[in-house]
Amino acid sequence: MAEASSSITEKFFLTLKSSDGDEFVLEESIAIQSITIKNMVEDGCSSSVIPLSKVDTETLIKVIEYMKMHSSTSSNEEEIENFDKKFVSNSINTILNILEAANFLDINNLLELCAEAVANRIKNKTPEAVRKIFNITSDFTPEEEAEIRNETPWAFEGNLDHSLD
Amino acid sequence: MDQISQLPDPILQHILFFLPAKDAAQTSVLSRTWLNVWNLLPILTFDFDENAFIQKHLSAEIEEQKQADEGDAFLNHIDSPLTNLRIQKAIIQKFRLSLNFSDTKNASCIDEWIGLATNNCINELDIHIMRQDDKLDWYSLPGTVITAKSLVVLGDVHLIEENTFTVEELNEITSFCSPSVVKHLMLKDVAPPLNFESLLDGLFWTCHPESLSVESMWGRSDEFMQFLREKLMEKEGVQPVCCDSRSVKCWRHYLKGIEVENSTTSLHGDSFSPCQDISIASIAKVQWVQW
Repeated sequence: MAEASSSITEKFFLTLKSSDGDEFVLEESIAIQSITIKNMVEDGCSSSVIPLSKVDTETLIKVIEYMKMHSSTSSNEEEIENFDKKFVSNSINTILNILEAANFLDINNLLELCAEAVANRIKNKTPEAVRKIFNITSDFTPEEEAEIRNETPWAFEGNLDHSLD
Repeated sequence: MDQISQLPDPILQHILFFLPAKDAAQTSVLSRTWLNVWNLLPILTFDFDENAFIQKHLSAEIEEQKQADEGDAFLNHIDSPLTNLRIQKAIIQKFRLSLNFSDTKNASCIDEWIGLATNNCINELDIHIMRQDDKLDWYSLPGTVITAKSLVVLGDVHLIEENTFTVEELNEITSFCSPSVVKHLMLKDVAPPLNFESLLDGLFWTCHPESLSVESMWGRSDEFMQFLREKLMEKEGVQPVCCDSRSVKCWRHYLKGIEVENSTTSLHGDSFSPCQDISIASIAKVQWVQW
């Protein structure tokens, strides 16, 4: 009985290491929002440092911020909502980095949040504007592009926002 | 290569999921990567027919109670195939829903299904809801069908109502966002009490049908044609001429043809050619067909 209660109150800590070599110590209960990390913990390979070779320091800091906010029992719904709102206002490159990390770390909520944030920057824009925003280079010839537009002509009718905001 | 295009295909597909149909389709021209992602979307067909379902599951002699139970089973039968639409974008070739509206508590389910369907790119949307009991409230299409920016219907729309469609409720809907253009709108068995004005507000202003066919107006075909004619003429009215100066055009600019069953007024044939009278440039021809 005593053992059981002590295991509840005792906090375990994990060390996450970014691709830049920086180490972050994080409560296990927070870190296991990442299914990737959870699996590693359950497989017993978390005794030492967990190397995250695909996540750079800047991105890892953001991810940890997110996990702390979303696991903390003290933060209420409104706080979380405001945090998420602010979170998605990061630059598009940061969002894409986080999205990639969320995919690698398998943090579903974070993946959803970022995928929607990316979608919101595509919404109502012309393809030309979307290419500029995301730095996408078209590898179609003008003829090929015209052909594809012809496949779904209804998508290219009406007014769209040419701005890049 | 740019950063976003390096994301795995499932993630790019997931980004499309959060986009209205129109925006999602537009990504197909961005680059080969995006075209590929677009082409990988599942192409689905849904055909839910309650009567066929019941016949399949029950013998000819059935008690009423049992039939009601089967009706509930049918609702469950619809729900599970649509589950994927809650997490994934799809291209829907055809979405057909034909059921007996037996309980108003089912309305929110039907609303949700139609919402799920119209979030995707639909070739053909066919909603057929029959009211079993005169005492029941009517089922009215959810606002989302009509207003959703993502309602892009490529082919035919059949809005078939049998004693079921309260157009009044559509009055509250206003949608002047980038217009959805429905190729063909078919109205069948539109029943009284029908308010033409509401029909116009609810459907024409939002769907922008290119052609319209009307069947079985309960003997009010002539009245409806007269009403439409007046509405088309209003373009030249006292008000500033329609929406010529605006970029988003009203329904009059999309409507190219009308077919009305059993219309016997002077509106059909050569005796009336509204396009000349009202000089709607975009209406190539308006046919008043007598069936």
